[in-house]
Amino acid sequence: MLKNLKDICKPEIFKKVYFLFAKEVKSFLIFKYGNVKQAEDLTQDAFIKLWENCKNVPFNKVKNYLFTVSSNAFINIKKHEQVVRKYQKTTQTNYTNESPEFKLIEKEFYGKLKKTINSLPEKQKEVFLMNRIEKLKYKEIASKLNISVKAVEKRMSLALKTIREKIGNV
Amino acid sequence: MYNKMKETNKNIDRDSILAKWLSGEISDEAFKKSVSKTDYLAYQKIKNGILAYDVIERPLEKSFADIESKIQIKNKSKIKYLYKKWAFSIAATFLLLLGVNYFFKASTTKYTTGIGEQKTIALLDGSEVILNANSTLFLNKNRDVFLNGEAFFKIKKGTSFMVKTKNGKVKVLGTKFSVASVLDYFQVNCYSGKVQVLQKNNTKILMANQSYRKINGNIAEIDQTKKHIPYWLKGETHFKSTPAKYVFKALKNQYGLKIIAKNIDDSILFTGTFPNKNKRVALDIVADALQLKYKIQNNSVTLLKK
Repeated sequence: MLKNLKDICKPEIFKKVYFLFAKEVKSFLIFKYGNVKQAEDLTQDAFIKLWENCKNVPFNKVKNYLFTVSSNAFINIKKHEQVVRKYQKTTQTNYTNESPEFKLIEKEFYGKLKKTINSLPEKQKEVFLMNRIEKLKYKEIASKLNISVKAVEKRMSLALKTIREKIGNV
Repeated sequence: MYNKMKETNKNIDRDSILAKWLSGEISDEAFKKSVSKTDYLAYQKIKNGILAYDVIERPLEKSFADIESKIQIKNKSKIKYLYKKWAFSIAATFLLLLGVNYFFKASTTKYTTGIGEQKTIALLDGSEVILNANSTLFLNKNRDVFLNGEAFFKIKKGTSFMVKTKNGKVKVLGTKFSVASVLDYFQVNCYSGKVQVLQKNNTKILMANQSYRKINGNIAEIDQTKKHIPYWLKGETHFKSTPAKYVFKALKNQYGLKIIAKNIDDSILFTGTFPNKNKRVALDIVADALQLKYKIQNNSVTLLKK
């Protein structure tokens, strides 16, 4: 699939490139740095930089470019946070650089999780996706599906139990 | 029979526990009590995985739409920036000839708002600055900013940024915050992220929902309620325990009014909110709160004791 150098500068092609690589870049950031909160923003920023440099990045270098740009941005954030911490006048004896946000998730575990979600029984899967992907609250799901909130919570809990059973002891 | 009912109730709750915990309705501590330790650890790991799943599987259309709007804002700014650069280079020549102001080097752009006006400045890295009325902002190529007046900053994470004012400096590392430096009133509100306020004798770090205020040398730290943007971005001016003097200045900035307040103590404290697009209501609110009456002629407002 050879693409012309100039093509990325065309909005339709740029959009296709986004759809091709966005998930991979986000996954990369999450698995490498364990940072879930900023993965979306950093990925978007990287694509915006790609857009601005569209003339200079040939198609076969795009993925590399995105990984490098987002990596550097993340490292800069960490550097600055260190500088800020230096100025803070706190004298904590219990100090760790492992903040809860940055729990590393293993690729293999995530792969199993994704598979399990995809193979959830229909009713559980429906509620799960409405909550996680469509960002609907249990109340909103209940009204959309015409069932009680308790029923939604029950299905969601079953979904989690199913995942727990299938993934086994971690 | 009663015991059976009790048991069923427990079961109903147990059926919802996982769902409620995932949504945050039940705390980790409460959840921990109802499951075994192995289960608790397993579910925590699954929850982390689900949070990652949320981000990775976010609908691409939505994320792409975010990118599109960010790029559009940038494109608008590119045009603005080029124009200002051109206009400024002419002004710069005169300044050099007149030998005025050494602070403003050739690569500085000036933004000004008039009475009742607001302006949005989009920086090339995607950061945004919104200027409140009657304010001036000088922007240096090195991303140093000099502000006289009030502005709201939305700075891209991972880029450092410095705001200088007559009353103090604010250092930023990717965050949303506002700075007001009007006469000798200095207030910094941090809406998200972290901000460092630099003064002659001390520095203070503000976290989200914290404010720093200094009026004529008196420092107060106020914790705000959960707001995400300043009042003036929503068309209102808000003050909390602020001397009337600054409220009058704000009325002047929004409406161009000249306030005459002879024999009136302009250090009385005012707490309240007035609209920025309704002069009459604004004056009513301020006058009532300060227990004054007013007369307005053209743009001159005379305040008198009741």
